[in-house]
Amino acid sequence: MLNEKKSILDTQFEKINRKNDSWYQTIYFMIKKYLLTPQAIGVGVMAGIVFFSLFCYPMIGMGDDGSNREILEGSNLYNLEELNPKESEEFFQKKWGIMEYYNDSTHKLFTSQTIFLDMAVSIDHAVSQDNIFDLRFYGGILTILFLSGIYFLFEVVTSRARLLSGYIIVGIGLLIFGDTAYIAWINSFYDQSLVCISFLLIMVSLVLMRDQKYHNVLLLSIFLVNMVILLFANYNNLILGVVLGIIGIILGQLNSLKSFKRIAIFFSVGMIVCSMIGLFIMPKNENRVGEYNRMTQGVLQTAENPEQALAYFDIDPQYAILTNTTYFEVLSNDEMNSNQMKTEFFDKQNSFNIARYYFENPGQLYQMMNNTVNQSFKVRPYWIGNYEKIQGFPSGTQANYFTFWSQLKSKSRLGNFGFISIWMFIMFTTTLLEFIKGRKEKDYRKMVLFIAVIMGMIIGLWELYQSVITTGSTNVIGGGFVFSFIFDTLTFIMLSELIRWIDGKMKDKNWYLKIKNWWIKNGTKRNNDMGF
Amino acid sequence: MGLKETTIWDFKMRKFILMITMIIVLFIPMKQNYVFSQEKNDKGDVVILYDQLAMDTQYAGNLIALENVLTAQGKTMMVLNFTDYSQGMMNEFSRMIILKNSKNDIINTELIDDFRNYSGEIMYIGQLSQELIENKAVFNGMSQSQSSIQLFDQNHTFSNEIVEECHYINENETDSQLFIAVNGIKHPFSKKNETIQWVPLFLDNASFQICLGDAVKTWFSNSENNAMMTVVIPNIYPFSDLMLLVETTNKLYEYGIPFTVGIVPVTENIEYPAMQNYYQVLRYAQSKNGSIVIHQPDQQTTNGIIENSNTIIDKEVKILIENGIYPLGIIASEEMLFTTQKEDNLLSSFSSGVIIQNDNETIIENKSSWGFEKSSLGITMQQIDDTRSNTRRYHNYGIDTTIIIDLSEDLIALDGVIERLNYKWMKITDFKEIQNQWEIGDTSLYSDALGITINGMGVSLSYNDDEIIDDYDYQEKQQYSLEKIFNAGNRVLLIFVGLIIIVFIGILLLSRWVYLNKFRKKIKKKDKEKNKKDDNRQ
Repeated sequence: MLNEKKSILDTQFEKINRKNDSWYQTIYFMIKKYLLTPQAIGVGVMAGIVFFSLFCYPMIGMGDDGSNREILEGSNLYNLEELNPKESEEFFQKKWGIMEYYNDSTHKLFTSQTIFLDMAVSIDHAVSQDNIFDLRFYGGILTILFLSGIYFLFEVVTSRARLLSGYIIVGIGLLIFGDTAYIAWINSFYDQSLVCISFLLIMVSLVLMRDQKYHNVLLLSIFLVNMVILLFANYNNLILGVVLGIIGIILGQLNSLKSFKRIAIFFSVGMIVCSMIGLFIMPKNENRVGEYNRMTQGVLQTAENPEQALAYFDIDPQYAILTNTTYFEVLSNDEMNSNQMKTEFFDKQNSFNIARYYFENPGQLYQMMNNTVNQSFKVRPYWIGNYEKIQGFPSGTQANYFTFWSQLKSKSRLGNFGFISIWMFIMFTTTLLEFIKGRKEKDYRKMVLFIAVIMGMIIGLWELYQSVITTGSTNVIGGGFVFSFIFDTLTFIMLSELIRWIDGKMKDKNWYLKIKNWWIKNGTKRNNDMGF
Repeated sequence: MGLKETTIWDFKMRKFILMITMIIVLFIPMKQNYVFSQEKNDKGDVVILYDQLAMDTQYAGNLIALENVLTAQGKTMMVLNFTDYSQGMMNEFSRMIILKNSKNDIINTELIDDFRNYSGEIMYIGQLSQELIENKAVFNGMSQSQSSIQLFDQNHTFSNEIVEECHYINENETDSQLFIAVNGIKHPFSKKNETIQWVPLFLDNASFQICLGDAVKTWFSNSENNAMMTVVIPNIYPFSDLMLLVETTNKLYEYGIPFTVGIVPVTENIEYPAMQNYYQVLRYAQSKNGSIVIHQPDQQTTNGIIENSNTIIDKEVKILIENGIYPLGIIASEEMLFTTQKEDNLLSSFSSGVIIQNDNETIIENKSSWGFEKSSLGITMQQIDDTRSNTRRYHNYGIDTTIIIDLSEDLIALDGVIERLNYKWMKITDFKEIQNQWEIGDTSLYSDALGITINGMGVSLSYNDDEIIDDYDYQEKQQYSLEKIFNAGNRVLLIFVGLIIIVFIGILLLSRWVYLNKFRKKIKKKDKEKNKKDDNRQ
C-alpha cells in the first residue's frame, strides 16, 4: 500500500540507492528538499513574473511625480528632462542622468534608500561606463530583496502545512504579491517600495521565530537591519522607531542565550535613541505636490466651509477656489513657484498645524481616513503611468495583465475605515487567544504572531495618518500604498493560518477520505447510468 | 522660288520661335507666382531655416526671439533646421529667413542649390556663409570682439551692452532708420542687396526684437507707421491680491491710462463667494476703463492640454459673459502657436493676442505655426525705462507692443511704475478700441472705439456693488459605498467596546469587593451557631 503511493521519482531513487550511486542520490535529495517545495516553486514563478514585467520589453515601472528630486540629488542623479512634469507622471522613465561634477545642490537628501541607490549607480557605471543611469539596476537590487522577502513569507505560510494546502496558499500569495500593480513600484524611486520590502522582511523574520526553522540570530539580524532601513527611509517613519524598538526588546526574550538577549536589547534601545535623534536632525522631505494636495484635497475638500478652514491657517480665504484641485490641474509651474504662493499659501501650513486642525476636527479626520483607505485599495494612482513613452502607449497607460488582486480590491467597495476597523478587530481577537495561551505557558514564541500583527497595524495606521497629514487623501504615493501592502501581508498570513486550520480539521475528521469515497461511488454510478 | 519658299519658312520659323519664347517668358514667372499664392496660406507666410541653437553662446535663444517677433506681427511660419531641409521646400514660400549662428560650413547641398535658385525675398540673419552668399564683399561685413553696442530706431536710443563678438555692416551712410553703434560709431542695422536683406547681429533681448521687428515689418512691405502700445497686468488669479489690483486700477484710471487685465482661466468652484468676489473686482476694473484678456491655459497643467483647453476656454468665456465680464483677446506664448493646430484650438477664435516670452524651454523640432489676426509683443517696464526717447514724448516703437506690469510687486513699487508710465507721455491705446472679435458657440463678441457688443447688442461696463452671499452651502453630502453596512459595523463595534468597558468596570468592582473581603472579619456558619448558643447560655 505504501509502495503504491510512492512517486516515480521515489521508485527511481530506490533503484539508485540500490546501486549506491551517491551523487544521483544527493541531487535527488537536493531537488526534492529545496526545489520541489511550494515556497521554492512559488518564488521561481514570482521571479519569472518580476523579470518579465520589469526587465523585458515592454517593461513597466512607475511614472515620477517629482517628489523624488531630493533623494535623487542625494545620489548624484538628475532628471534628463526628456519629458515635461506632466508626462513624467504619465510615463515611466528608465534613463536618468548621473552628475559628472561636484554636486553642491541644497536639495540633497540622504536616507537608507541612498545606500541602495548608490550601489545601483556604481554597478550601472561599472557596466555601462557612461553617465546615464538605468533605473532597472536599482529595480534589480530591490527585486533581490523582494524575492528573498517573498521566499521567507512563503516559508512562514507553508510551515506546518501539508503539501496540497501549501500549494494553495502559495498560489494565493502569487496572486496577491505577483500583481503587476505592486511589482511596478519596484521600478521607481519612491521610497515606499523599499519601505514595503523592509516591512515584509521584518514581518517574516518575526513570524519565523515562532516556527524555529531558521537560527534566531539570523532572524534577529534580518529584523534589526530592516528596522533601520524602514525607519531611515523617510522622516515620517522615524517615530515608529519607538514601537519597533520595544518589539525588539520583547524578541530578546525568545532565546535563553544571554548574549542574544543583550544584542537584542542593545540594538533596540539604540534604535529608539537614534530615531529620536533622527527626528531632530533628519531633513523633512516634504514636497510641493504633497503640500498642495494635503490642503486642497484634504483640509479644504472635507471642510464644511473652506474659507473658514483657510482662516484657521491664516491663509487668504480667496484660495478656497482651489478646493478639490490637484497640483498639476490649474496652476502653472511658475505660479506654483511664485513668491506669492510661497508666502501666502505654502509657508502658512505644515504637518503640525494640519495635525492640530484634524485633532480639532475629528469628523474631517474620519472622512479623510475613509477616503485614504479607499484610495489605498486602488494600489496605483490612476494618473501614474507604467509604460515608457517610446513604447507608444497612450499617456498614463497602466499595466493590465496579472492584476486580478488589485482589480478585485479596487472594485470590492470595501475600502473604507469602517471595514478596516472590523478587519483590525478580527485580526486582533484571533491572534490574542494564542497570545494569552503563550502568556499562561510562558512560551514567548506563541506570542510572536500577535506582536507581529499589532506591529503591522501600528505601522499601517501610522502610514495612513501620515498620508492624510503629508499628502492629502488622493495621493496614494504617500502612505496609502504602504498601508495597502501591510493589509495584504497580514491578511495573507492570517488566511494561510485559516487554510491550514481547515486543512487540519478536514484531515482529522477524515473528510478527504469521505469526499474521495463519495466521488468514487457517485462517479461509478454516473458511469453506469451513462452506459459505460 | 526656292529663295521665296526659304524666306516664308524662315519667317514662320521665327514667328514660332518668338511665340514659344513669349510663352516661356510669360508663363514661367506666372507658374512661380501661382505656386507661392497657392501654398502661402497652408504652409505659412515665411520659412525660417536655422543652422543651430548655439545654446552656450551669445546667440542662445535668438531663434525663439525671432519667432516671437514674427508671431507678434501675426505672421505664420515654418521652422526648419538646415540638416532637415530637403529639395524644393523653400520654394513653397515667397519669403525666407536664414538664421546662421555659427561659422560652420553648410553640408546640405540641396539647401545650397535651392538657395541659389530662390527667387523670393530673403532675410539673412547672422554670419554670412560662403556656400550661400558667393559675393560676401557686397555686404561689406566686419566683425569685432568684446564690443560695446547700442541700438537706435527713429525715435529711441536703446541701452548699450557688451557682446563677445559683434558683426556689423562697415558703412556709415544709409537711408535706414535703424542703426547699431559699435564702440560709439553708428552703422546700419541691416543692408539690402537685390533680394537679400542682411541683418548681421541678432540677440535674444527686447531691444533687438523691437529693431528686428521694425525691419521685418518693412521687409513685409508694411510701411504704415501706426504701431500701437497697450498696457497689461498679467497673471491675475482669483487669489491674487485683489485689493492691490483695485488700487492699481484706480491709479491708472486717475492718470487716464487705459489698461488690460490678463486673467488665468479658473473654472473650478465658480459658485464660491470667493469667485463672486473676484468677478466683482474684474467688473470694477472694466468700469475703470480696463479691458479683459484671457491667458492661454498653461500647457503643463492638465487643464492646458488641448483636449481640456478647449473645454476650459469655452466654459471660462461663458462664465465671464454671464458675470458681466467681456474677454477681448488672448495672452499666449509663441510656443502655443507652434504646439497646437489652429483648426482644433478654440483660442484661434480670438482675433487678438498678446505674445509673451516663453517660460518653457524650446522644443527643438521642425514646426509650423498659426497666428492671431492682430497681435503685439510683450515687453517689460524695465525695457521702457532702459530706452531713451529722442523727444519729450515717448513715441511708440516700430511694432505693436504691450507693456507688462507685474502685480506681484507691492503698492509702493507699483505706484512708482505707474508714475513713470505717466511721466513719459506715452500714447497708450485702449485694447477695446482695437477691432477685437471672436465667436464661440452661440456667443460672438465685437469691440471697437464705439464699445463692446455681444451678439450684436451693446453692453454696459458700469459697475454695481452686488452683494455676495456669505452663507453659501459649500459641500454636498458625500455618498459612501456600503456606508450603511459599515456604519452598522461601526455601531456593532461601539456596542462591543461599550460592553467590554461595562464588563471591565464590573470585573474591577468585583475584584475590589473580593480584595476588601480579605480584610473583613469572616465568621463561619458553625462559629455563628456556636456564638448564638453561647449567647443563649449567657
